[in-house]
Amino acid sequence: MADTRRELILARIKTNLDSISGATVYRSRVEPLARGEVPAVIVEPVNDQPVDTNFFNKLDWTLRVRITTLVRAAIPDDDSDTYTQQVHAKLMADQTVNGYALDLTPDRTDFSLYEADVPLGIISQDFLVRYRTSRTSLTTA
Amino acid sequence: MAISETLAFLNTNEFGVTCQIGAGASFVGILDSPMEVLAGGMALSREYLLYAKTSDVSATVRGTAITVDSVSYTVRENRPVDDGLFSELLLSKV
Repeated sequence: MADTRRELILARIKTNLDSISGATVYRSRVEPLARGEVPAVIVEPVNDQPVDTNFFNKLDWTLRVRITTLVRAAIPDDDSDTYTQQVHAKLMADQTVNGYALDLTPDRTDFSLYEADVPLGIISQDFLVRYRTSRTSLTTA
Repeated sequence: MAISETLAFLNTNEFGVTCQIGAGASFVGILDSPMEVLAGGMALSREYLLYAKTSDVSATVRGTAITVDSVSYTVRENRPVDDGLFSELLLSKV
C-alpha cells in the first residue's frame, strides 16, 4: 500500500534534517535518551487537521510536526541554539517539502529545562505543514 | 544503656569509598548512583549521591571539586539528612 501524503512529508522532513551537524536525528523515538546519546533531534507528528476546500473532491490538511532537540549542558538553552537554528534553516529551505506540501510555517517554540547529572534541555519547535489530498484517498493529491 | 553512633558502615571494607575534597584530608563516604527518568520518559540521568559525615563535607558548595574512589566529580547540592549528622551530596561526573 502506498504511503499517505502525511507519511511522505514526515519522511522527507527527517531526510532534510539528517544532515544537521553534531546531533543524531531520530524519527518518533520513544525510548529515553541517555547522556551519551545527545545532542539529539526527534521528528514526530502531533496532529493533522482537515478542512473542506472550494473543490468538492479535495481536503486541505494542516499537519503539526514537532522537532524536539535534546541537549545536556550547563546552559542547555544556549547549547541548543546551534541545533535549533539548523532545524529552522533546513526546513525553511524546502518549504514545499519536496513538492508534497502547499507550504510549511514555523509555529511555537517551547523550552523545558531539567536538573540532571548534567542539566537537560528539551527544546521543541513546532511547524505547520499545509497539504492537500483527495477527499477519498490520503495517498493522492 | 545509651545508644552510641559507631559509624561502622563508613568503612572501605564495607560499602565505603575514599573521598577527597580538593587537596584536603581524605574521608570515607558511600556512593549511590541510581538512574532516573526525566521529562516524562524523554531522557535518562544517572544520579551520583554521596553520603558522608556532615563534618567531613560541610565546606562543600555548588561547584566544589571532589574525588570519589579516584573519580572526579563536582558538587551540585549539599543536603543535610535527618538530624544533620550525615549529609547527602548530589554530584555531577566531570
